[in-house]
Amino acid sequence: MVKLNHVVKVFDDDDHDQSHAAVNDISLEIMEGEFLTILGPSGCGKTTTLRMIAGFEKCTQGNIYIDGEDVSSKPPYERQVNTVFQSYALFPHMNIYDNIAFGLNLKKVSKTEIDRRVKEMLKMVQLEGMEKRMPDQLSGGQKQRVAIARAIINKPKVLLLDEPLGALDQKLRKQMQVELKHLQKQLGITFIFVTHDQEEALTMSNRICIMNNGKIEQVGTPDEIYERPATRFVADFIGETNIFEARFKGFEKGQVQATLEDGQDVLLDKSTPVGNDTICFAIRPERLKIKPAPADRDSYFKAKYKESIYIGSTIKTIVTLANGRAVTVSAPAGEAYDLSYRSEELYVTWNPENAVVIKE
Amino acid sequence: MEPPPGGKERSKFSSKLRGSLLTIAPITLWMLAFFIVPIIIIIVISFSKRTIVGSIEYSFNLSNYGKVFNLNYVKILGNSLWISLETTLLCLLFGYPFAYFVARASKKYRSILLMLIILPFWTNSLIRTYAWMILLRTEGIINTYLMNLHIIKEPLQMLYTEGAVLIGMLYTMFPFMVLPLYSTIEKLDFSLLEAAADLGANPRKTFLKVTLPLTKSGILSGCLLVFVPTLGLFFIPDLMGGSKIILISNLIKNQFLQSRNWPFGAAMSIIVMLLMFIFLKLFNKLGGSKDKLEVM
Repeated sequence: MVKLNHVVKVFDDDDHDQSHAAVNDISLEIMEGEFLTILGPSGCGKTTTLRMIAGFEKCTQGNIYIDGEDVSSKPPYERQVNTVFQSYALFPHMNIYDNIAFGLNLKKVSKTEIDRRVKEMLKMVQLEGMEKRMPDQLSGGQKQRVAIARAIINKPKVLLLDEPLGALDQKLRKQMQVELKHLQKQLGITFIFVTHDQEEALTMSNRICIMNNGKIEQVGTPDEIYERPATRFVADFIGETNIFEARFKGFEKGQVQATLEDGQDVLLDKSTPVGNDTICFAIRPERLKIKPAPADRDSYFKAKYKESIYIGSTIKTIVTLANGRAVTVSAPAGEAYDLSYRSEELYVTWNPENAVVIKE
Repeated sequence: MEPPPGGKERSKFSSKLRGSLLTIAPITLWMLAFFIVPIIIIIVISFSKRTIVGSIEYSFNLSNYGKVFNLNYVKILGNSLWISLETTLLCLLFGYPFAYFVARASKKYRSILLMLIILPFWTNSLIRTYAWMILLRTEGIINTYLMNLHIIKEPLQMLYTEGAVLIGMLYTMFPFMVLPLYSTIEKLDFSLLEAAADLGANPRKTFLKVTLPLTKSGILSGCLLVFVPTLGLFFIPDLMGGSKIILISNLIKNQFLQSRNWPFGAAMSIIVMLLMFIFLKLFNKLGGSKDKLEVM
C-alpha cells in the first residue's frame, strides 16, 4: 500500500550553516489494512518520515509509492492520504460540522451527501449534537475525535497519525488507544501511527518499525520486537532488559556457548547468527528465575543477592555477578521467592531460547 | 479586642478604591488636558462666528455646518475618502504579500526585514516626502535618467498629480498596514495550512478558506490604521499634489492657517471626526477587535 524506497531527508540548518540527515536511507513496505507504528525517541526521524508520506516534506533522495503510484513529487493535496496532527490542527474559525466537512466540500460532493456522511462520522466518534460547537469549546479528547473524523470522512487509502494521543491524559489515552484500534479494524484503512510511547506501540500495532538516528533498527510484530530484539538499541528501548557482553566459545547441543565477563559459561539461543568473538545478548528480567539450584535444561550463572524492590504487581530483585555487575530479575508478586538464601550464593537461571543475541 | 469585621472590610475596600483612583488619575488628567478640553474648544469654535478680521465671535449658530454641505466641499470630502480608500487598498495589495513573506522568513532574516520597514520611521516624514519630490519632479532624477537613456523625449509629468499623492500616501502609510498584518500572520498556526493541504485544498483554496479568514482581524486593523490617518494627512497632498489636488485635510489646514476661518475649519474637523468614528464602529462590527490595534 505504501512503499518507501531508499528515502533520505536532509535538512539545511539555517542557523548553523550545516545540514543533517533526519532520515537516512530507509526502505519500508506497509501492507494494505495494516496498523503500522513507527516508534522511536524524539529526533529519530519518525515524524519526518510521516511528513514525507503526507507530502509536507520532499524526499531529498529515494521514492515513495502509494498504492503502486510514485507520489514523491506530488503535493499533499494530490495524495490520497490524510493526516491526524499532533496539535489536532482544527480550523479555529469553523465549527465542528464545517471542520469535518472541509475535505468533502473541496471535492464538490453534494450537500445532502456531505450532511449524511458528517452525521455518520459524528456518530462514529460519539460527538453527535456537537456540530455547532467551535473547536475551542471542546476538550482535548473531543478535539482528537474531530481530527480523526475530519481525516477519515475522506476515505483515504492511508491514514497518518502523528502522535495523536500525546496531549491526552493517561486514562483518556488508554481509552482512545482501544477506540482507534477498533476504528481501524472497522474501516479497514491502512494506519501509519507515529509515537514515542512503546506501550502504545505494543498494544495497537500489527507491526512496529523502530527508528533511531534516521535509520530503521527493526521492523516486526510487537512480540517479535519484544521477545527477539535485533539490536542493542531495540532491546534497550523496549521494556526493561539485561544486556550482557560475552565471548563466543562454541556450539553445545545446537546452542551457543559463551563466556560471561566474570568467567562463567552460559548457553544462548541457537538460532542467532554468530560471527564475532565478542557477542552481545539480552534477557528480559521476567525470563530470569532465581533458584537455589539450576534445573536440567536451564542455563544459569551464579550471583549474589543485593536487594528486592516491590512494585505492586511484580517484585524486582537485583543480583550482582562476581565482577559487581547488576542484573535485574522480576517475578509476579504472587510467586515470591524463598529468599532465605539471600546473602548466600544463588543461581539465576533461564531457558537458553530466551537469551537473544543482538547486534551492537 | 478585634475591630468589628464589617469595619475592617470597609477600610480594606476604601483603601482598594483609593488605590485604583490613584492608578487611573494620571491617565484621566492627561485625557482631560490633551483630549477632552481641546475637543470641547473645537466644538465651541465650530458653533461660533468668524469676524471680518479673522478672530472668533462666540455666538451660537449653525452656519459653519451648513457651509460644509456646499457641493464643492462635499466633492472634496468625497475625493478625500476615495484617495484614502485607494491608498488603503494599495497598501493591502502590497502589504499582505510582504507581511506574509516576512512572517514566514527564517528567524535570522525576519528582524532585518522588519527593521527595513521601521527604519524610515526614524527619519522625518516631511523630509522623506521631499525626497520623493526630488525623484518625481520634471527635472528630477527619474526624468533625467529616462531622458539620458533616450527612452522619453520630453519629461513626464509625475509630480503634482493624483498618482504622486497616492505614491506619497502609500509610502508613508505602508508600515501601518504591514505591522498589524505581520503580527496576525506570524501568530497563524502553519499546521492549519498543512491540514488544509492534507484535506485536498490547493494553495489558492487554502488561502481563501484558511489563511484569509484567520488573518481577517489583521487586515481590518491595517485598513483602519491606514484609512483614518490618510484622511488627515495634509502635507503629502500639499507637497506632492500641488494646487490641483485639494483634499479635506488641506482644506481644514487652510481654514486655520491661511483663511483664518477657525469656526469653519473646526466644523469640518468635527464632521471628519464623526466620519472616522463611524468607520471605527464599522470596524468593530466587521469583527476586528480593539486590542488588535496595538500593533506589536
